[in-house]
Amino acid sequence: MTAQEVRLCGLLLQEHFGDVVEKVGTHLIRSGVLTLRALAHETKLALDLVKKSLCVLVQHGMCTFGPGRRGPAGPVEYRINCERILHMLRYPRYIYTAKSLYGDTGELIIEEILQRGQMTMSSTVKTVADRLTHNMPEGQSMDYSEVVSAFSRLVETHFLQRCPPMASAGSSSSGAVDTSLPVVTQPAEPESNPECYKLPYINLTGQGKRRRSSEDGEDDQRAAKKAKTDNSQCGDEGIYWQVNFLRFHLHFRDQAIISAVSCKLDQTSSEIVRTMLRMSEVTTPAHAAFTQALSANEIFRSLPSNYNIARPILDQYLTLLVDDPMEFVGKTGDSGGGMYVVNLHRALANLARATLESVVQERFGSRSARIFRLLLRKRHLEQKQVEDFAMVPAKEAKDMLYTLLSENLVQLQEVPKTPDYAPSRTFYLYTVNQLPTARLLLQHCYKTIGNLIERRLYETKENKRLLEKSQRIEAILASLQATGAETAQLTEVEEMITAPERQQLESLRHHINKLDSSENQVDETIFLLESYINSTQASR
Amino acid sequence: MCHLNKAFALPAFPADLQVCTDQRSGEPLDTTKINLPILQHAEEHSQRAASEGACDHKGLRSQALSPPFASLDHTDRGRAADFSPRIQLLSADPRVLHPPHHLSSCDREFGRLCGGVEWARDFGGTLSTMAGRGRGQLTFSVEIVGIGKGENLPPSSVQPTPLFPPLDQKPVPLQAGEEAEYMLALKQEFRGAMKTLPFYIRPAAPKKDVERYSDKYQKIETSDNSLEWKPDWRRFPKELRVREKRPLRDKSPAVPKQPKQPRVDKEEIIRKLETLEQKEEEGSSDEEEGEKKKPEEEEVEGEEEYDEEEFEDETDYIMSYFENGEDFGGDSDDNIDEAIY
Repeated sequence: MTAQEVRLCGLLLQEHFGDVVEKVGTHLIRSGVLTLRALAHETKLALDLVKKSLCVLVQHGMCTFGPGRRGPAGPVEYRINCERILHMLRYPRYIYTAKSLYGDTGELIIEEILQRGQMTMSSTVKTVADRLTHNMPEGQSMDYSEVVSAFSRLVETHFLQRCPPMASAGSSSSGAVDTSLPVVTQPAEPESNPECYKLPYINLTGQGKRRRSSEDGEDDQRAAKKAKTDNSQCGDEGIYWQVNFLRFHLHFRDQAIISAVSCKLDQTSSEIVRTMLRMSEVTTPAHAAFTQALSANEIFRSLPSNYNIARPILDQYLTLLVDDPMEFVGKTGDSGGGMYVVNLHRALANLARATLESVVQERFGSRSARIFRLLLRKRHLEQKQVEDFAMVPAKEAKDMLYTLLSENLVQLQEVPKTPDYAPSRTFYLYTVNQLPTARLLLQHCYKTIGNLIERRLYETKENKRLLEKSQRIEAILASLQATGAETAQLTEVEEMITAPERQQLESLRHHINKLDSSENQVDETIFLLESYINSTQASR
Repeated sequence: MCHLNKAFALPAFPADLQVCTDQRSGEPLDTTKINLPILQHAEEHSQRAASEGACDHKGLRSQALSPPFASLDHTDRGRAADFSPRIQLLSADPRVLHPPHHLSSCDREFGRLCGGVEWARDFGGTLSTMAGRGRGQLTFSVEIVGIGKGENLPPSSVQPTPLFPPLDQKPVPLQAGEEAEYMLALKQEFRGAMKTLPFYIRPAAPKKDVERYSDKYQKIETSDNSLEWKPDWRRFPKELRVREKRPLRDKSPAVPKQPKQPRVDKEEIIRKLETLEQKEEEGSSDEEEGEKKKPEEEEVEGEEEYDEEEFEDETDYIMSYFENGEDFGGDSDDNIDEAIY
């Protein structure tokens, strides 16, 4: 874990779970694997707080536990999953995707499960139905069956998966194990469970309950008690569901490829690529370099019906896609009118390369970007050659190269002419290595988001007094309106905030919104670079 | 050797601009430890030459291939050469490095041997040694990397880059649009929702300086140590469970603790009982030693405190500093509490 990743994880944990969990989490990231006692001792926190934090982290899947080095008899060891914490940056994107695919119901299901880490199907259905009912006009309520059907669709398309079941070590044959504290071990992969995507049968009928604001307290208690007693009758005890992040990432990757094709070529070609990806969704494993080979006939049959393109036109489009230098689509055979694949890894590499080029362009100008692109394509060039090929005057080329070199985007490779590495008789070649540069940029992105979050916290802290005042006034206004006050009273309360304070609040809100949307955007870059780096590792 | 290396010592770089890394350990390179073969042997030669007088250029070259190089094996030289041009190139960029103007006599010799002579050879003698020295003692011709002769290079910087440097290019505006705004709203709602969920753990409220009467009537923040949500304990390790025994323990907090504190003041007893009551209510489980240790530690501390405190009168006067003039209490050696002056 790099320093920037650890810092970002700490900030994310603090924002979502509080300071205590942040302390425990960052310490565990830095130390690797620890037992409960060691963790409590080193963080100097109360043991109870440490236990609570670990429970929260395990519930959300960010911490795994397992038998320690001393085997099942020894204390349990805990390990943090850093990637999972960094996924918290992408939660809005997951929720938005669910909304675009499965509507409001899907959106709320994913949001609930993300908020709580893992949930049973019945509790999810009830909570979501209640929330939907709350937003509906009076008299209407959401039926459980609709929510159940949305849930089933999410599971069928693998966006939700079962949490891996626990394998208790108490069933082991070693009799010497002290069975008073059986160590519970977690299996590694949820996919290794054959029932990963199997829906349990639950008998859950009814509708969402609307919560009345006047009888809040009692109703909640009654509802909570009812939920407890209802749970046991639903038939899915012990089956917890979690969000399948990998599937979402595959979806995002496909989206990125399709939008790149539509930007580079046109809408029809992007539709063709979308069809190809859709057809090979279920047959392609997660880390494959290309999709399954599809024949042109199949593609023609599966095109959406509103795209009436003739067969020869389809062939022309496919040829165009194959010849394109971005190499999104490749041809692997001639049977069935031509066998075509989508080159996933190559597409990711090209997308990452485009990202790098655009970063250089926006940071250093278009001429530096020209030099950078030149070096990416031509691999190794001398100073003189760079000037000639890029058609940039010598002085400026040198200046730009040094700027890029000092930012570590460009490296220097020496090629000696003589064995004694005499500097006057050595070639010094400039070069760009895509993978290390992508890693460097990824670290920069993590640092950027860390800075954005810290700035947002700073701005909030600076204006804390003002924010609290405005919140109090809003609460007063809301209560006044609920009890039916006159407009004169309302305006009087509103005037408690002076005009310059209002302006200050407005600008604060504007800044915080800007910082938040910047985080979302940087996260898109992070996703692209991470996918590219993971794809290079998977193929090794 | 060290002063030569100081000439190439890198200024304080921002931490992530680690250009040079040690090939062996991957740590940022400590330039004071570099074993540049050329510099090293030049140093030895310069020392020898200082006593022998100027040595021939060709002689230098032939001597260059003698013992100092033979002592290094190929890997060392290769490795040293790996980072030497990078360092030298950094020094070639005067914005980055700043070779000091004052160089010692050894450097002058070195400059004469390597800098002056070689450069004179390469540039046909147009580049004087002074200019060569001014640019730093580089061991290769900078023409290769593009710095022309007699060129005005920008002054080198001696401080780290400013915190908010002025941007040459303005950043691209953020994506606006329905999707971006919706995701922004989702993000802020999610953050707000997480703060209200029981997963947001707040540390225990810090103890106030003095106990106030109103504390009894004000609602304290969750002093409950158990979780407010119910995890499925079959999926969690048992040791993470915090047992809650609130209704049982209310009755007998005071009784078992009393005999342990016979000597203590009444106020001490009441205070201890209150803290212990709170601790019992918070639900420490018997099996956890950690829980037990804390009240025991507090008790021990209390007793120690008590030992230091003077009992009886709670005055501000130290009992041992009692000067009654006469031999009051001076004869008795039994009372060790009083200091004997």
